[in-house]
Amino acid sequence: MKGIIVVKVDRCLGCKSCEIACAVERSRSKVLSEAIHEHPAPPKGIWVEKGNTFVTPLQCRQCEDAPCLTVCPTHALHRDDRQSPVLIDGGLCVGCQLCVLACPFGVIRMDDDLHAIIKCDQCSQRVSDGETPACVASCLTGALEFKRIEDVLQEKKEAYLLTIERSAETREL
Amino acid sequence: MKETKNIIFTLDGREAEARPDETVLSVAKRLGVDIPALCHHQAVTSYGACRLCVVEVKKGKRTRIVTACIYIPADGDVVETGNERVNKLRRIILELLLARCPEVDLIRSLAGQYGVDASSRFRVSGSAGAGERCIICGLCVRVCAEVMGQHAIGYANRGGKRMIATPFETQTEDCIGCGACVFVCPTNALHLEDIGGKRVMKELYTSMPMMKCTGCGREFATEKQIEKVRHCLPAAHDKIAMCPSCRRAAFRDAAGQALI
Repeated sequence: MKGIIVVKVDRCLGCKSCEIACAVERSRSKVLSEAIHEHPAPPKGIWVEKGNTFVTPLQCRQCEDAPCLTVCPTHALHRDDRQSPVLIDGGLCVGCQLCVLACPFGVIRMDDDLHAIIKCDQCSQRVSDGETPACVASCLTGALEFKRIEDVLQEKKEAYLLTIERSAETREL
Repeated sequence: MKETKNIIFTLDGREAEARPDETVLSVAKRLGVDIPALCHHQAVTSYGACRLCVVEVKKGKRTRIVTACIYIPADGDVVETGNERVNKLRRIILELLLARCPEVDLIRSLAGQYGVDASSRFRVSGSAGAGERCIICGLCVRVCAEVMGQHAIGYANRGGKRMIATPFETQTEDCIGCGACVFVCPTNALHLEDIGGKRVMKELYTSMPMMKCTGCGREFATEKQIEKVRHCLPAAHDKIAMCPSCRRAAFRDAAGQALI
């Protein structure tokens, strides 16, 4: 399924389960108890950012017009089509870090220990196996969801209709 | 019309198919055949400098040694990637590399794999040997020129004194301090350090000013790197002068505003 990771900010408690799940998914063993002993430490591609009054998970937005793709001189960053995640081909990457500096959201980074650029690949392997991305699967409150764009639009339409209906009801009262 | 027929040849006893412009090394990688190579990178043109990827090619009665990273096979070639003759040549190459750079872990482990004695029987003259890590494979030079388009580094001198350097061994205007040369170097001969607001690459005689993040004030990239990104992204966003962690914070705050 081609989809996007949707964040419901009001549901995030800041437990960082997604950060751990992301790193475990990127580890060699893919098991938490072993991943914590791995060296170099498995990286994460999601950040739980704390604001003054709220917390929210942040990861690659998979921009439609992705600046990282535009600046990459070797096409190491690539995607199949506009709805697919931006992936990195480590064999082509020369580590120039233009993508790191181009990303408006600051969610691409160079991992010096792993000698590689780390970004969210939307767990493309898991998704092609019919699972949801690791961060989404680990989220206890449903703050992270993996959905098709059409479904997100449909939900928004329904929510909007509901607000109209409710405001009509209150007027009648 | 351009010829697009694939080439059929034999690789270690099995049939292999190569695209018309594909090298033996690329086919071998695809088929999971391990050929050691230090100076090869997919993003740049092959150069055949390290010679470790030597393989034997039999064509009819003729047998010859070629470098797999450059050699484009022809129909009917019989390629052997690890026979006794090839391994013997690789051992000599590793002995020579080991004599020049005895401290490089990658070369030592390769030498171990091929059963080369840690103490090389070759002696080197001049500065090489003591702390030398560069094998002059030229990956840094190719990446700087072909990928980054900066042409900041090149080769200096000849023969035993050959080395990687900036023009006249002084700081060059062409370097943007991106560190791609440091990243691709197979032997960690180049180093990059951010000290006191400067990006220092001591092997390349370079020390350049860095930019302070407009958010937190921490130095996060060189001024020339930011200039390059601006150049590549005509519609650069407003957070270009911020470090990644401040960019995340800015986005978080924007998301928070949207909530209210």
